[in-house]
This record gives sequence, C-alpha cells and structure tokens, in this order.
Amino acid sequence: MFRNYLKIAVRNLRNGGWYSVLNIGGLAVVLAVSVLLFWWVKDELTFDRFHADSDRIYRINAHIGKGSDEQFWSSSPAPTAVAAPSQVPGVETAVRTMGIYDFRTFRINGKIFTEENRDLRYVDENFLDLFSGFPVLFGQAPEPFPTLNSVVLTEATANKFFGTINAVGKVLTVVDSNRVFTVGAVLADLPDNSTVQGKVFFPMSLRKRLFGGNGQWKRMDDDWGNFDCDTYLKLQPGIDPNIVGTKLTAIQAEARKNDGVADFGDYRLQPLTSLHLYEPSGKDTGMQQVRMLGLIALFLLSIGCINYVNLTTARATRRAREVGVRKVVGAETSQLIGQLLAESFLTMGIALVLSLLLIQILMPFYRDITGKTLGFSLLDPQAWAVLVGTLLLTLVLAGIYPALMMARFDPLKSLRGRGLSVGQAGLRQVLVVTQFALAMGLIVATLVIGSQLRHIRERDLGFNKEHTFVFWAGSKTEAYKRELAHESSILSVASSTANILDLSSQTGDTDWDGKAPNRMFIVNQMSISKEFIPANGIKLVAGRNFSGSPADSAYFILNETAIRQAGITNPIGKRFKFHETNGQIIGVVRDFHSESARKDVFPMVLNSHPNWNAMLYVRTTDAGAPKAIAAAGRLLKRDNPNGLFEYKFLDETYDRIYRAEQRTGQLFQFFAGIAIVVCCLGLFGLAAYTAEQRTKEIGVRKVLGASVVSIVTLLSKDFLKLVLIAIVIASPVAWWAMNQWLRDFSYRIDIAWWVFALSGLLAIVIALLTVSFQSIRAALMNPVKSLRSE
Amino acid sequence: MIQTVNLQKLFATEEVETTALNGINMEVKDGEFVAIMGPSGCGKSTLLNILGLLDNPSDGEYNFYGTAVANMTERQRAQLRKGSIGFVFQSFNLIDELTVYENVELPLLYLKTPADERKTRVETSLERMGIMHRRNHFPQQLSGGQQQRTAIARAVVAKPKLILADEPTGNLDSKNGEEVMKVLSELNDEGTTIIMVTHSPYDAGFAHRIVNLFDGKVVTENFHV
Repeated sequence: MFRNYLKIAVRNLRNGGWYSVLNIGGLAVVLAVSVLLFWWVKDELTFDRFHADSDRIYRINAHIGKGSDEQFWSSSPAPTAVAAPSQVPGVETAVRTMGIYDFRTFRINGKIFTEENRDLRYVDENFLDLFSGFPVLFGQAPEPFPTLNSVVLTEATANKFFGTINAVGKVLTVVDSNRVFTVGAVLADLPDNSTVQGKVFFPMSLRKRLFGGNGQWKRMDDDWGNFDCDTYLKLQPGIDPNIVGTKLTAIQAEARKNDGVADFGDYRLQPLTSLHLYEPSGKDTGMQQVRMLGLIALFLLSIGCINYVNLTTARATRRAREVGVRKVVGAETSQLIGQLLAESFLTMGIALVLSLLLIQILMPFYRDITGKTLGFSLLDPQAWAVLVGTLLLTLVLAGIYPALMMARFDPLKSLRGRGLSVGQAGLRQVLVVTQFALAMGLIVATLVIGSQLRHIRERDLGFNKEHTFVFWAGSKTEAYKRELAHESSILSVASSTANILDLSSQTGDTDWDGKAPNRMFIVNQMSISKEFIPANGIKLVAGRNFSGSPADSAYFILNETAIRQAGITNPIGKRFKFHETNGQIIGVVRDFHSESARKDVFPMVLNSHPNWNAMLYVRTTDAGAPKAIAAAGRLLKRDNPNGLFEYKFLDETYDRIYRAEQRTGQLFQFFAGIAIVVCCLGLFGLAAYTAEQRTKEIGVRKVLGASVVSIVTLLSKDFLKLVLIAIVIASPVAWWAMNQWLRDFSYRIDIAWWVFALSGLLAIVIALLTVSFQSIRAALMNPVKSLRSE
Repeated sequence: MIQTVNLQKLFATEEVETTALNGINMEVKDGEFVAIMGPSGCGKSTLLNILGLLDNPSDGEYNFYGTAVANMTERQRAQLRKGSIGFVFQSFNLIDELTVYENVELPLLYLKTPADERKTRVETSLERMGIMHRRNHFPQQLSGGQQQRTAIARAVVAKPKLILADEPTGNLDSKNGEEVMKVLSELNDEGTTIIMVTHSPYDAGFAHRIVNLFDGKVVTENFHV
C-alpha cells in the first residue's frame, strides 16, 4: 500500500509541472535557511555543556556600587579561589583563569611567534579537574603543569610552533624575559561552543611567584582589591549557589574591613551554562538574539509552510476526483489521510534533500556571518536531530491540514468536482495575509536596523577618527613622537596608554571633596600626552590642557559625565585624588565615545605620565597614509628587528565594534529577501490557480466586451486587498518589536512613518508584479478557447 | 436483495429547495438487471447514488441485503460499500496517475487482499475485459472503450454482489457502447445484480426490467422476458 502511495505521489509531482517546482523550490529555500538557523540556535543553547557536571559549575561575578555607579563584573580577586573551597561548605573545586598582558612573543627553534594576548592565559594547575571536557591529547591529564616552567598548548598551536601535535617535552622561550618553558601537555583545540577560550596556558603558580608581593604590591593570594581573575567553582550536588555567593561576600567584607571598603557590593554565582547567553548583570543579550533568530526561523518556515498549504489546497480541487474515485472503490478516510501525508512527506523529503545542497552553498556565508568554524555536517547526529525535527515540524504545520481537508471530501461532490473549494478559499486568504504580514515585518526590521546602524556610524563621536592609526611603541613614544613629527605625510603625533577605542583600564580609586563615604565610583583611566586632546579633535569645554611639564602629573582632566556623576560643581581647580596622587582638576573635556553607542559614555579621568604612554597616535591624510605607515614601521624595526609592527586605523576599529550589529543588519536583509521571494512564489502559484478557476468568467466577460486592463484589475484587486490587510496588521506589531530592539541603544533613532510607507509600498509593488503576470496572461487568452475548455 | 420504501431526497440551498426523489418504492432481486430511465433531472443519478451507498436519503427506508442503511454515517456506508458494490461511470473515473493495472488493483488494495491473490484476480479481470495488453498504459493513452472496459474490470475485480452503472455508454461510440453492454450482460448472466441508469432505449433493452422515473417518481415499470 505504501508503495502505491509513493508511486502516485511521484507521478503527481511529475505531472504537477511548475506547481511542483514552486512547491518544492519554496520549501527547499526555507528549509535550508531554517535548518541553518535552528542549527545556530542549538549551538548557542548548548554552550559549555560538554564538561562533566557542567550544571554544578559556576563563575563568581561581582556586583559593585549602586545607582549610576552600579556595575557587574565577570571577575573576582585571586584570593576568592583560595577561600572558597576551604571556608565555604559545598564548594568542591575552584579554578581561576587570568589574562596575560606582559608577554606574547616566543622564540621556538630560532623562529619568532607572536600570539594575541587574548589567547594567552594563566590557569590554576587543577583546571582540567573542573573543565574535564577539554581532552588531553598528550601529557599527563591530572598534572598538565609538572613544574612552574611548564606550558600547555592546544593542538593547533602545538602544530604551529613545533610542526607536530605531540609537542610534550619541547621548549619555547619568552622573548622579553628569556624564560624557558617546557610543554607539559597538549589539549585538543578548545571547541567553538566553549566560553573559556585560549591557546597557550601557563601555570597560575608562576603568576603567583612573579607577583609575590613587595612593598607596593600585596601577594596575589592576599590581594582582595584587585578583580583580575575569572573564578569558577564546582559545587557539590544540591548546594544553593546563592548561599555560596553570600558567604563569599562576607569573607570579602571581613578581609577588607581594615581598608574601609567592607561594603563593596556582593558576589553572585552565574551557572557556567548560562555564561554565553547572559551577561553578568543577568541581562539576556545573547538569549535575546537566540530568541530573535529562532523566531525568524519559525517565521520563514511558516511562510514556506503557508505556501505549501496554499498551493496544495488550491490544487486539491483538481485532485478531488481522484479522492472521490478512491472512496467509491473502497478507500477509508484514514487510508486517504495516510496517502496524502505520505505525499507531503515525500515532497518535503525532496525539498529537504535539495535544502542540504543549498546549505552546502550557504555554508561559507553562514561561517562568515556567525564566526563559527564548525559547519553543518551530516556525520553529526545532532545535525540529523535538527533535520528530522525541522521536517516533522514542517509536516505538522503544512502536511496535516491539506491531508485532513482532502480526505474528508464528500465522494459525490468530488466526483462532480463542484462545491468543494468554498470553505478553503477563506483560509487561503488568511494564510496569504499572515505570510505578507511576516514578510512586511521583516522588511520593516531591515529598514529600521539599517537606519539605526547608519545613525550610530555617522554619529559625532566627540573625537575625530579619520586618518589616524594607532600602534604600540613601547617605552620610546616620546622619542618617536619627535622623529615622526618631521615627516611631511604626518599631521600630528600623540601618545597615550591605550587605544581610545579599546580602553581596558578602570579603577575605583578616586576621591574628591563631597564624595559620599563607601561610594564606589568606577572610572575609565588613561594617561595622555599634551598633544592627545588637540590631535584627536576632542573639545575642551572648561579649563586647560596639559602643558607637557612635570607638574602635569598632579593634574587631571575629566570628561563631562565624570563631573556630572561625581556631582562636582565649578570643577576647575578642585581637589581630586586619583590612586595615590592628590591633585586638582585642570580641565573638562566634552564626552567622547570609546565604546559602542549601545552604551552610555562612561566617566573618564585623564592624567599625564608620559613614560606610561606606550601607544602612538599618528594622524595623516588619505594620500599620505602609506608613507606615514612606512615611516612608523621603519622606526620600530630599526630599534627592534624582531619586533612586530601592528597598526590599527581608528575608523576601522570603530567599524569593528559594530560588526555584530552589521551582521544582524546583513542577516535581516537576507531573511527579508528570502521571505519575500518565497511569499512571491506562493502568490504566483495562487494567482495562477485563481486565474485558472475563473477562466470561464474571464471568457464570458471578454465576450461581453471587457478590456484587458479591467480584467487584470479584477484579478489583481483581491490579492492587493490581502496585502493591504497584512500591512495594517504588521505595522503596529513591527513598530513595537523594533522599539524593543532599539531600547538597548543609548543613542537611537525614532522610527519614522516613511519606514512603514516604504515597506508597504515595496510589499504592494512586489505582490502586484507577481500577480499581474498571471492576470495579464489570463486576460490575454482567447475567449473562444477559455469558454471551450469549460 | 435491495429494497426501498418511500425514498425521499431533497436538495436545499439557501433560497431554493428541490425535490429530487419523491417516494420511490423499488425492489431489486439478486441476479436482476434493472435499467432506470427518464429525462434529464428526473432523479436517476440521485437514486443510483443512494442505492450505491454514496448518499443518504432525506427520508424513507433503504434495505441493503438485509441491513437498514438509510441513516448510516458516511463511515459506516463506506465499510458496507467496500467489496460489495462495483461502480461504472459515464466518465469512466479512472485515476490518471495510475496505470490500467494499478487502477484495477485499487479496490483489492483497500480490501487488503494478499499480493498473490491480488495479482491473479487483476490479471483475470484484465484478461476477461480484453485489455491485458494495455496493462501498463495510463488512461489517457487508451480509447474510450478501453477506458470503460478498464473501469468495468475495476468494478468487478472484487467480485461485488451489485454493479451500479451510470450511463456506461454515454461517452462511447456505438461500437464501443455495444461491447460494453455485452460485457455487462455477461456479468449479469454469471449472477451479478446490475442496476443501470441510461438514456438509451437500446441499452435498456439489455435489462430484464426498465424503471421509468419522472420528477422523482416511478411512473412505469416494463418487464422484458
């Protein structure tokens, strides 16, 4: 029996001609995109779950300050990891990881390798106990660091450094310090879906040794004031993480009560499995995107399913006779449902196979946009889960209704071929409206995202980012500044401690007259040269700039936000204590953005310690850029032939900050495009069906003298009405949804009325073009023919 | 034996109510060949559909081989219909996507007849209708006569007690029509009960009895010997 079902399904598809092409093609496109989206969603939702007992692993987050000073950090001081297992009941293991910023260049067999700082980390020696999901390929799993001078590499890094994966026992030398390390273990490359990342790992005890404490510093494990570790805890089963957090808060308060900062805030434990999708504050940034893209996958799938339902039910009247005959010769309703479902299953199966081809084509694009290296492979059982899941969802959404509807046809009516389609025409209209409403929503989203991105890109940042490149010049900035100033291609040279668009240094070590006791006022900090403010086009709104004299070290320039949040009135000349320097405010600069416009401008304190400034800012011109870069590179190579000359243009760095948003923008363009194409496929088929149904009416009208235009209008009018209804329904919903999205930006556009007008117009024009092709064809038909065919 | 008592059928739209059958009393014995005649719109096809369990009467009684069926649901009627009635239509009603063989096989599939037996019975049926050589063709590739013979093969393959034919020669030329009528006669000679709706007095001549309908009523009954 099933063979019979399949046979007739195949023949039906073959005889269906372009109906089948539209049906399968539309489904294949949405299946491909939906499967990829579901795949991405699955990937996002399963981050960090590959470690044993991942549900019992937490990271310690710090919640600091109140009101406008409130902050959430993902880091904690080093001693928490010492205190937690020994003083807090229920803590099984604690592991710290910490960034490395003091070296990054290695000599291996005479060759120099420079790694990105973010790939280098100190980790506690027991970190594989907790992160058991990172397989050790070579070396001793429980003791990856046999000595202080051991290093652990990932597979790819070992291969890059030594040309072999089995690098255990081989040595590398840190170029600056000439310290030699022996490879203790090689790990498999850390998977994409791990929040903890890194390529070269050094033992935390080395760090402890290097920062062993002296007159100025505390020992690492005693320093409760320095939040520089990511600390992970594994709790015993059934232990409440909130209680652990409270206990840790009490321990921290006790440890710092003599420093007068007992009330620093509190510690909160965040589950490892939620790190990827939720910020330390609990904000669901990642989850929001997962929901959004999951929803879009459902949207696209719905649009595809609606096409399928529409085309299948429209064609159902053609197949009514077959259903009637089958019933007359003895088919039961359930058997017919089985047959029709089998047909749907076959059609969808073919579409799914085609979609797999499409997925292969889309893969480079997918990788590029998602930044994920792991592709969609049929060898992965999870891929099958997603495929089968999507197919079943499609079958439920699109297969069941037409099967039930057709199998219930009255045999007599279906043999006569009359009186069957009345009820379903209404449903088809509802479905077309739904489809266009979804497409309209995506068009609006695309336009809003596009304008918002333009808005933040073109926003006045408060500094001039054009034609300026920044590079690391180490301790020679002052000398280089003088030398580069002579170059004709260079307009100005300035220095500071950091890239203005990549400030990583914050402190709470501030004081001024009138500061509330216990207040945690966290600021961005940067030391700058006297050229910095004018060279970057930053506006001084009060007071004066640094003069370049040694006296500058006791002076501070604050931004407007810092002045406002600190509540300092008439700031010029007021006392301000920063770290150990008790000095005064000499100037106020207008706020400038050093981060994404999603965020508010952060309070900032500028000071002047020329010997701390390691970054040089060179402003040049469009034409002069190559010469300016060459000049800077020559200087650096002259003094350090082995060194690395890496420069970044500020405008490019700025654009990179918005890469995530730009990706979202591109994705929406893509999805809106797909949605429209698939909607049009469906509408095209439906218009053809309608024209066919009304062949006789058109013939009669033409015989009675109707013009082609009047017939095209007649046939297109009904569809336009549906699109208009869709626009009316979709506009307010889209307006609301996009305002939710915009809420995350501190600087945002107001959604203009023209966005809806333009989206609506686009939907109408596209629908009209699709429908009119069929309408014109029907209207041009010879009436003699159309009447005869009845 | 089938029997109707005071059978009524009304068709109602929002505005108009039409009486298609108005008190039909009729009896058909096993092995009989009955022709139903009458002008267009007199209710012939409506009567045939009710007799064939495709439709329910609005009122009256219908006894189908000992079962009262007038108030059965579509599902119950379908169960009863399966294997006991064969249909032959004016427009053949073959499924275009199935071959001759597959069309004939269809009733047996729904009766869940085992594959071996199915094959034998389909082939016997095709042989008998003289269309074995056309078994792998699709309906569109056949002449009208061949299509109707396929439809008859399909109607008889499950060995039903009753065959209902609705103008079986209506779409055929005289030669093919003659052949179809001969086949029906032969089936009747072998014991199958046949009820046939027709416009053609010639075709009606093949029947034992002619029932004339007018405005939904039986007006005369003629017997052949």
